[in-house]
Amino acid sequence: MNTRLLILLLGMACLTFTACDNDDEEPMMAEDTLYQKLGGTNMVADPATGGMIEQGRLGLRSVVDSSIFVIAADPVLSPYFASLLSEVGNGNTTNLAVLSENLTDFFCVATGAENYTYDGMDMVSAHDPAQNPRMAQKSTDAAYDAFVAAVAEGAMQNNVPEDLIGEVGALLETLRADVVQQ
Amino acid sequence: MAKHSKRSLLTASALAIGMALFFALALNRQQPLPHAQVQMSRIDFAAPLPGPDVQAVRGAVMQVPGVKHCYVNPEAGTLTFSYDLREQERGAVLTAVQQSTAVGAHLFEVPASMAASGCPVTGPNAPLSKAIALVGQVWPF
Repeated sequence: MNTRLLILLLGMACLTFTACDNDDEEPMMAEDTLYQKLGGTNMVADPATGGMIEQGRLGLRSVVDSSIFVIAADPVLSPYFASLLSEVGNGNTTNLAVLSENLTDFFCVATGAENYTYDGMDMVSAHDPAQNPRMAQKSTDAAYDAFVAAVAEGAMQNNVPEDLIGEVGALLETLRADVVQQ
Repeated sequence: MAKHSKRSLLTASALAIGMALFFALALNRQQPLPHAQVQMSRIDFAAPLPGPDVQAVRGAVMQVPGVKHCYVNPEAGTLTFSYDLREQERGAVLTAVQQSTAVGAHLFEVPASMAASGCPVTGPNAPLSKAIALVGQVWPF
């Protein structure tokens, strides 16, 4: 009886040591988010405001800003983004500035930023004319293709590495079903 | 009785002002948008733009004071540009473009149907946001 108890205790001790040994192993490294790959939370000077900004956000904002010009120049996308070209009275915030901020917020959150929030409409609601009166017509696959291509061109204009552009493209593809509701 | 009503009115007014200030303080604590006064506009060409004209047009546009950025889509025959509303107006950019290419060009005017649709870019231009911003200017914090 005592021998059995001793064996049981030894076995439990072995299991305990083995468990402790497992705890000492190196934890698995989590893969960097796309936001981190784009510079992450490293603080850099913001040329637009003179303040400081996270490098990941600055990179995404630069891509967004360049993409907006490509988008607005594409007749296929005009019906969806024409309000960008509407002049606002002096003193009002331009639609370019507002869209840049909203899209940048969205991309920051979607790529893994932790210090920013996106409080705009979700993608399904924003692209559903029944829920968003400003969405006059449903988006088409062709229009979404043009949008993705515009973002890729905006990224290329900002010298984003090809593999990261591919990741951005893959991210946008996951949103296609939410945006194209036909 | 009249004195009581007057006191109630004053109390209600004070509460209303207090609530307005509270919302102004709570909702207006955000950084100003970068390039808040940068307007975007588009020029359409009568035909696709020949290669040599692309550089000439782009160079001419970027030399107009107040212009921040421009992008040319030669195949579509379009040019988008941005400029500071406080420094320039889009007609000056059109003039510069017309002087740099023989291809006809005109400013793209947003149709009324399109102006009210498309991407939900409201935010700071919404009436409530404007009112809050106004209160924020009157009461700096």
